[in-house]
Amino acid sequence: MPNAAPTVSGKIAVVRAANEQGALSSHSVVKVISSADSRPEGRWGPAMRR
Amino acid sequence: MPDRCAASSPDPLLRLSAPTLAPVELLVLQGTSFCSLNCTYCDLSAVSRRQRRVMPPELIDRIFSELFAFGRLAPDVAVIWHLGEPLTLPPEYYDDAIARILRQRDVSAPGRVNIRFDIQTNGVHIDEAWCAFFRRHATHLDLGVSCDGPPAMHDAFRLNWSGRATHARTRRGMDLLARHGIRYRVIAVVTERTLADPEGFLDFFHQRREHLAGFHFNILAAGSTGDSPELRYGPADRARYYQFYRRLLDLDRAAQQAGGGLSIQNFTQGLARVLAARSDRKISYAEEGSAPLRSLNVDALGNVTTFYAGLAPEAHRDHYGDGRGLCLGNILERPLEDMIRSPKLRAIMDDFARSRQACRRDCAYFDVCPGGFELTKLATHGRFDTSETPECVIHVQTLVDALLDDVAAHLAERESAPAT
Repeated sequence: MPNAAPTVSGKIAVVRAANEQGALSSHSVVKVISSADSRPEGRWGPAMRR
Repeated sequence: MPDRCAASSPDPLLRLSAPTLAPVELLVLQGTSFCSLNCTYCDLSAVSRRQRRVMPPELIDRIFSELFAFGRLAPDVAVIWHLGEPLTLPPEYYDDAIARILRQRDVSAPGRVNIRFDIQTNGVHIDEAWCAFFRRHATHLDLGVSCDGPPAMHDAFRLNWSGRATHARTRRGMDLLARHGIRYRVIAVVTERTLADPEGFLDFFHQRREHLAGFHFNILAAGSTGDSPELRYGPADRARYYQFYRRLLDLDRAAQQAGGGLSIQNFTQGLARVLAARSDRKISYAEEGSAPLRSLNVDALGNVTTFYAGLAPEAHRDHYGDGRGLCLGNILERPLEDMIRSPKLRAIMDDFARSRQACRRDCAYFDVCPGGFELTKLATHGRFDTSETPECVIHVQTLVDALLDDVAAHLAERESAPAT
């Protein structure tokens, strides 16, 4: 019996755990995340989704 | 159409999940409604973009005196001019506007409110005088240029009123900024042409990397793309967008390894949400993203809207029964505080709370969703209390899938690498 495909929440949990262990520090996107990226999108988020 | 504002009654359950009024963090001012271009995908009406309405200085004074008087501004505020082409007004207009706002701030809230200014432009009017203006205000002014990439992508949609291409003029403006050492952000709209050539798209911006202060690509709302097959998409396009996102991630990684690379905000913001996702987060990104008052927009005539940066009063004109869309009123006719306490704002807040409740209930991506899809739901389904739209699938779900799989590939590669 094959394993069921991982759920989104399962994948997110794996990624978060890996990050907490420092395993993502060399990932190309993680390397360039800034503190501003944690804020809600303002200018080009909701503005463009209406 | 019934007057839904007057008929609206408080719903205690909804109110529990509705965000309270936020301080204003983003104030969008329509300095002028006029635009020198007629981009085929623009969601502002052609009528408004041909009228040379200008926000008078007295209106700017009125807006800020009310905001300061009632302590409505956050400690850090961005004041952005767009919704029309700001650079069709002279630099002196903004010199005066900035001076007025800062003067009022220094009198009404000395040391308490930090204001940054921002201009979003199509770039075609940038000249020496504008570069001098940008340098003059460099300590408190940011600049964004709308450019869709190389000519074949940009000129398919970004046309002037005569239907002529504009890429050469936008590029000339960007080159002039670069020569003056003025860094700027880019917003680039993604179309079928972009999907067909992600290498050409990203390479255009990689070449300008050292001059860019930020980069964000934008996929239009599916409901606003009209009849153009090059802009239309739906859930069936999920696989194609997934491949596009993965390709951009690969290309930017390769550029980064070669000493270049962009910080693509769609990815940095998306992954930041993934890494911060917690089911017990008191307020979701979706709630925070469209919190009432957080974003406040005032058009050149004084009409006020909130929730969405740049929301025009003509959007969903008849939904609240007063023919004014989500517009709360005109600040020249009615105090802002009256609008903030109005039944209409409460009715909109309740509708948006219903929308988020449905998303929280139905969508596996809710914790990592930036929000802001309330009006696309209304446009797609005619109601708020549903969840998924084509925008949700393409903008959020597919992007998150691509990011998660990219990170998983990174982890697998890391595990299989020989220990050093």
